[in-house]
Amino acid sequence: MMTMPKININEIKNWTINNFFGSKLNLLLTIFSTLFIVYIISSFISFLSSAEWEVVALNKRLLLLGRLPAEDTWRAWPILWLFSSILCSSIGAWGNPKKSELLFILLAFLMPAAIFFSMSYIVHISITIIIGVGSYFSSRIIKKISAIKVVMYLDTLKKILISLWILLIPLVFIVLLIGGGPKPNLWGGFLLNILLASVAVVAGFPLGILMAIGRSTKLPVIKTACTLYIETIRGAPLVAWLLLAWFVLPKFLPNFYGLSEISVVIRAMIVLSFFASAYIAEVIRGGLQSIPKGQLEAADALNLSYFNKMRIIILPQAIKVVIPAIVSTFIGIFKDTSLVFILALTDLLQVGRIIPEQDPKFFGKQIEALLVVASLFWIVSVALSNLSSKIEKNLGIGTR
Amino acid sequence: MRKIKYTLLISALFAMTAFSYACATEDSSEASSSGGSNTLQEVLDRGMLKCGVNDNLAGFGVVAADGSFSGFDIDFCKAVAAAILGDSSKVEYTPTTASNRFEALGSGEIDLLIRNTTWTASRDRELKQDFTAPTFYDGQGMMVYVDSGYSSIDDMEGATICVLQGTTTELNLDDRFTGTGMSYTPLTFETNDPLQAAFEEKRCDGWTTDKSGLASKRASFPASAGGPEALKVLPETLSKEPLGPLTRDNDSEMYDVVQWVVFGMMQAEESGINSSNVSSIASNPPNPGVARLLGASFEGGEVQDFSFGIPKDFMQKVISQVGNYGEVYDRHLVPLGLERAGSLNAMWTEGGLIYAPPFR
Repeated sequence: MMTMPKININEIKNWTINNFFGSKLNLLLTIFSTLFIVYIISSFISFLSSAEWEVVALNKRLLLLGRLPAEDTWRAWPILWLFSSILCSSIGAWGNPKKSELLFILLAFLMPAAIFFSMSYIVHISITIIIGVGSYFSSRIIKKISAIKVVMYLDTLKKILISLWILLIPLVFIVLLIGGGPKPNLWGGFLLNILLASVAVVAGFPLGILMAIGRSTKLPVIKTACTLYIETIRGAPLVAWLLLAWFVLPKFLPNFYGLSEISVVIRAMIVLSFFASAYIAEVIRGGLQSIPKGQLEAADALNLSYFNKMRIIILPQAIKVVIPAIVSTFIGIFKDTSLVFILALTDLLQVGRIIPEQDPKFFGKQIEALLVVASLFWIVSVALSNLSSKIEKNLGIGTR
Repeated sequence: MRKIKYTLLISALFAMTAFSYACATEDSSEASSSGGSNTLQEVLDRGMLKCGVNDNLAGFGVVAADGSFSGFDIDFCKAVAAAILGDSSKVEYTPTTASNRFEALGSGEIDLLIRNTTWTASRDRELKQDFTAPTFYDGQGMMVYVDSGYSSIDDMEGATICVLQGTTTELNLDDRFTGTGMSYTPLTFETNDPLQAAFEEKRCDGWTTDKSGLASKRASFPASAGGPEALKVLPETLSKEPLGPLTRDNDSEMYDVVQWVVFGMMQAEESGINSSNVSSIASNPPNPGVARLLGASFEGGEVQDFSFGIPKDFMQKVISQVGNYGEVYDRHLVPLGLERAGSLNAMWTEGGLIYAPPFR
């Protein structure tokens, strides 16, 4: 633990004078940037004071769940509970968060809750918080017990959590579809963005690894095929692929079991997964190239098979190197999901765009709606990049 | 090593052959079905009408807070569903954008497009899609401040006009001004919000866009900038914008149904039939014309069948579940400030263009 250095008033004064008013240029810069900051903040405050949030308050459900019918709203809650329990247990099991970080996580959860708070859901929201806090502390207790006594509780917990993360998407699908759920093209809002991004990442990541390995091999057919795949998918904009998925894909699919009438949500998931995989493949290929040749030769010397050589020696090192780039790709994919309005899906951004048209009294309230949309995207993106820097710290990347 | 290469090459070839075979069989089935496209039969088999609509235009098509669609265009989707399937709720709405709407209809993703689409010659010819009947006559107008003293566009010599860039609106504006030898300064914007802000600051003398849009912007004009009373829409119309539903080319069964549902709603208004009195009028029609429209029997006579391939009493379902043309107009467009009296959308008996060919 570091002790806080004593604050010296004189030192602060000198530092301020030296850095802000030291030369004529500094003085000028200080004045102009202060004026600029004051201008930005004051206009933002004047906007906030005149903003009318009714357009958002009336459309909370539309923003979160899109056009999901009212009788299916209940499906959102088990998904949220499941997610919060797995997430909080994982933080407890792997992470070692400081008090300030726990506070930040709580705030990150409370901010959307505050935006979308409604008395009719107070029970559901309380259950979410109880489940989250409960899972965090139970996994902390398990961690402590395993640290004191030499038992493998923590390892078992981690294994269960990993399998739950893998099972999360199928479980979400089951919750959404069980008992004659709504048509998938009615899934929407924030739920749709999260779902599309999760599927794209979970399906695109393994495919991306395969493509990266394929492109790095010396086998000409595989190498050409993988290169062709990556370059074709990266060579056209996502919008073009989405339009193709809407208008052309059904014509290519054989017409059995209603496959050619496949839902646009599934088509969006397919396109986003392929798109994600191509970008992830190139990121991982960069990681593969950073592995020194000696590692490969050492693996050969151990007489490992090609599969084991990749699994045990090469990939763990390669992926570790490119974690920042992978997470950056994930964040990009998450924000790209807002393009699915092209497929006639009502995602979060599209909801933000259409709600001011509902009623003449909402005309000109576009900024309020889009500000809420932006803050939701921001929370998820910041959470993801924080997660990435945590993982980097735990793995000791950048300190070699 | 060499063996592996050959195996891979052969399996790749095999996969490609299988794929092209699958595509070829698909093509042949495609060719046989495209000859006689019958959307009406598909809708009947499916039990659901797939309607392409706007989700982002006040009064015409918006998504309500509970996720349901509503609006003037939406009601015509409901009317077609009521006519074909007997239930106005059996519609699956697909929100379309200005750029993907025609592809959505052409590719079969939707059965019918009702999205404030202007009927033009090039669209009718090039899109392989047919316009059924105009449901709303729009046109470009000019809005000015009352205290500006303008009473006609001819007074606006040298004026600054706010307009959205890259639209036909901008071209029509130029036609009107340069065509009559008048000078003007266009002030162009990408979207509506900054345009409105500029107009509120009086950076431009006039605001031009479709009259329906002007009326709704006027009705919601903020009181801080003077409110609706501070503005007026000049009487001239700079362009013709007849809006209506589209079906695919060579799809005459569906085309006829959509067209005559629209006409039927107009005729019902003319005959004084609305959603509250339709059942009593159908049980005792006052004249043979009303009986033919409603598919009812006049004084025990035979029921007229127009052979649209849907139940004879389809207009009863449409009017009882959705209403006549006037009811739909009053429900969605009057709250926006779009007065009907004196406009092109008044009934023909009142000087407008809403006119249905005879049900005979």
